[in-house]
Amino acid sequence: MAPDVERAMRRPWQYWFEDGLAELALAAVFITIALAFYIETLLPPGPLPSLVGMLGPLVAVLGVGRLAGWAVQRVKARVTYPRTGYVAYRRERGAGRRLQKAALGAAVGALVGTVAALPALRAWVPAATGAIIGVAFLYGGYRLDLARFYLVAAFSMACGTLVSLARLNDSLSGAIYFAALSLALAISGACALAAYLRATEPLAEAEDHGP
Amino acid sequence: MAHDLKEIAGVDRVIHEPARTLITALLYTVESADFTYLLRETGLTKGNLSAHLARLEEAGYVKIEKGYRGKVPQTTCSLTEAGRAAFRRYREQMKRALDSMG
Repeated sequence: MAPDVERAMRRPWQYWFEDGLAELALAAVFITIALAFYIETLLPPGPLPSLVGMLGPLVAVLGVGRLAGWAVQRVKARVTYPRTGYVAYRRERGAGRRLQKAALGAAVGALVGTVAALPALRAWVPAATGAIIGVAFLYGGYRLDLARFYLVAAFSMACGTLVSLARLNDSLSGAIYFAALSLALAISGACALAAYLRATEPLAEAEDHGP
Repeated sequence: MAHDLKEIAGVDRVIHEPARTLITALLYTVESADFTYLLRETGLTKGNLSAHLARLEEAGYVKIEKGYRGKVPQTTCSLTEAGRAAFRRYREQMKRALDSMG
């Protein structure tokens, strides 16, 4: 029987998400963003809350993102690779990668620009954020054939819309949306990790037997 | 039609074997993968996988490196540039051949 080549080419990236660790790392990033928004609500009026609101997400994505990425590699080296093997990934370059970055930049730019031009739409920022993140998960789910990403996408969209409809203040809306999304990702990641650990076991020492 | 048949007849026989198609497809999107990973993903036996990897190495399509991960021996496999080019060519040929069959 001829192998499904396209499916085989997708497998290594599915494998990256098979143990759920990447979702747990992403949950750490989102909970840090939520914390930044929450801290903003606690600060007295002045320039400080805006600064925290601007820098917090940046620190979360760049700082915590890098730290979480490092932690994922360490845990994979201890848990995943001894069970189901090691894969070194190629860094995606070229037009596809540039297109993805451009699409994300355009979506965020359009959101920020629209809110700046029409302050009345501020209440809908969580809904728009939920939709952007949801579309990213839909795309990931489709590309990698991962059904649980569709659930995260649906949750992100629904949660963003509900938070917008609740008409809370901006920072609190952000805090609630990102905390909820983080919780959803943590549950999704933990379930995937539990299923992975149940289905696999570490290989015995000195078991490789390559050619 | 004769041209299509010539195209099918001209596909790379090293890659065309189903197990080796699977191995090259798995390795194409990554920098490298170890023997354990390939064993699990292909469902082949150790002996079979070793034989197919040796055939790919002999053709200059796969580079095999032996090392250690901690105290555990690790065999790492990666596609060479020639292997990547051959796999790309193979996919294009098969796509054209399948398209022409309608």
